[in-house]
Amino acid sequence: MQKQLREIAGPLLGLILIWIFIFALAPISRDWSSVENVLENSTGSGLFIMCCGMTIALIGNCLDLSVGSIYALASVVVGQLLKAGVPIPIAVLAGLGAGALCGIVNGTIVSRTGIPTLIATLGTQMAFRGVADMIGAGVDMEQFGKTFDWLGSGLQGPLFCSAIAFLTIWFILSKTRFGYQVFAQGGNEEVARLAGIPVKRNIVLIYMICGIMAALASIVYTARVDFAYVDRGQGWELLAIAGVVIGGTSMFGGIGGVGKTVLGVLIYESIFAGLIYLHYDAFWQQVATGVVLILAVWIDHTQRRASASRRTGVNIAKKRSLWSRVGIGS
Amino acid sequence: MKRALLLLTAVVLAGCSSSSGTPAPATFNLANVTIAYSGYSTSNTYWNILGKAAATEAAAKGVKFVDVTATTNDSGIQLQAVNSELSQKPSALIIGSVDNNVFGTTIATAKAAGIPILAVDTGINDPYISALIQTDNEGAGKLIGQQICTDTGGKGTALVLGGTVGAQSGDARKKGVEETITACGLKDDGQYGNWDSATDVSLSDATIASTPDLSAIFVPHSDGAAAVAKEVSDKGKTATVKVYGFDGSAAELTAILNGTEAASIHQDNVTMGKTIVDDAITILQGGTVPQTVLIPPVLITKANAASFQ
Repeated sequence: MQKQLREIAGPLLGLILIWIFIFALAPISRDWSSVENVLENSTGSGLFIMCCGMTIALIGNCLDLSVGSIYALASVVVGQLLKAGVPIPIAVLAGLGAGALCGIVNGTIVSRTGIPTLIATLGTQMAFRGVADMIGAGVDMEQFGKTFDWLGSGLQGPLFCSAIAFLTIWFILSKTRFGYQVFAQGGNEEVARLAGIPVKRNIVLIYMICGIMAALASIVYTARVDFAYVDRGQGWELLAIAGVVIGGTSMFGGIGGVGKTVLGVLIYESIFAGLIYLHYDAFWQQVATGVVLILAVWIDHTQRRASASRRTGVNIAKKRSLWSRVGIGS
Repeated sequence: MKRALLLLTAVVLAGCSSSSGTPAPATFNLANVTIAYSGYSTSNTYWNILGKAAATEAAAKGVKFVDVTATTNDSGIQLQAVNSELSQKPSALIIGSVDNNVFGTTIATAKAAGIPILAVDTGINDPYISALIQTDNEGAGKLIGQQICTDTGGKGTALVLGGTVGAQSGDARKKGVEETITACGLKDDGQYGNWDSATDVSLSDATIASTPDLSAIFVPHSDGAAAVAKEVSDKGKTATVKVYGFDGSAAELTAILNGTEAASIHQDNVTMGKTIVDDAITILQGGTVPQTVLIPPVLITKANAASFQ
């Protein structure tokens, strides 16, 4: 427990400092509605749910750049089905199924061909968006009714869906054999393979879970705005990675947790809202998020290097980089 | 009939400048003409309709139409697609640009090859551009601005969102709104939502929480406007915070009729798509077309929204 608290101490302190700063400089924000606004945008946009999926992907060393396109694809799949009068549960399941299918495609390409994750999911990012266009470009999909609306409106529905996403990923990572294997192969895939872990199967499962989470995120946002639209989720893969990494999950695999992701997304959304409360341009939000992201990765990198040096006496972690992780460079 | 009248008005408004192509060869045959088109993105409903209208007109005129619009609104990808198509030597090139500042080399290459370039919806600032047809975005912004002034009585603060910085159409809309609302006494809170509805919603939410006298929100694109209108309605703020949009998509029209969105702008994208193809053919035949056609915007309110459905 102490170890877990130590691990989240940095991001937690950062989040507290951000809010002290906001409350001190923007008196008008000293109100529950300001905090509620951050919670609504974290959950209602689907960003937190997408980040839950990205958490397991990054821990398992499976970078996924296609989540933004899956977000768009799931939106139009659900929109088309609801528009056709299909019952809500079936339409939602079909949307999640579309996300799962996309994940399986990603996982199969990565595990069977050995193509670096960066390239493979960059390719599928374009392909999935093309499919979404084929299904939904130029089609009006709106007015899905109050029942579906509940999933995304206000705080209750989005919080409920976010809690499901959080608990699912938390359970998988901390209570199942598969979860332990994800950490193991994320830390060192070759060692995991030699230890008998079914790495290839796990890669497919990781991408499938990530795809389902991206689809769920999309369903929540579609319900929030009450219409489906194909031009969504562009650049969201980077937001999702940022949210996860800012929380303290490692970009280099093997370390992290969905609890950290809660803090990461809250930090991201708090910076965004805080700067608006302080009447700064939205550009400053991008600058601030970029700086926090670099800091988070730098801290992670430094800790890994120090840890590796202590363990082996050799600075091997220095040799690992994001690019070697995705198969480019040594 | 309404479209024909609008276009006629627009041509008159466009002024005297005109552009003419090189004289058509004696053996000019429409069947040998290839018109290449690159729109903003295939994912955007407004552009999808415009592209389809252009393709339909090209088919009706018997010319080959090559659509190289990318799936995403990425200016780099659009530039690559346009340059690749240019290497295939089309007869004419129509661009609906994501970023109107990136086509310097493209224009030089087209000029050297004698391929006319036409712009649709968004202007490209280069004298080589043979024709531009677009909505009068700044005029449309002013129209919305006047409606905001009327609805709010010039009281409070207006959140005026732009698209991406430097995007000609979004900037013109924002400028038109801002100039008008500040003149009638409203405080202007300008931001950029990057054409992303989730960002528009987040910006609106944060501004609602931090600006007690917020009385209006302008979103420069349809997806964002409908999303913000729904969000404001969910927060129970529709009576005090009016939402204004652009493009008038089906979702927006529904919102206007429901009373959750106050007004939007109708852009005649079908006429734009059709006319730009006609202009390209006229230029290739050696004829003359107006250099700039500004289609007058039409304000959509609850009173006339049903007629656009």
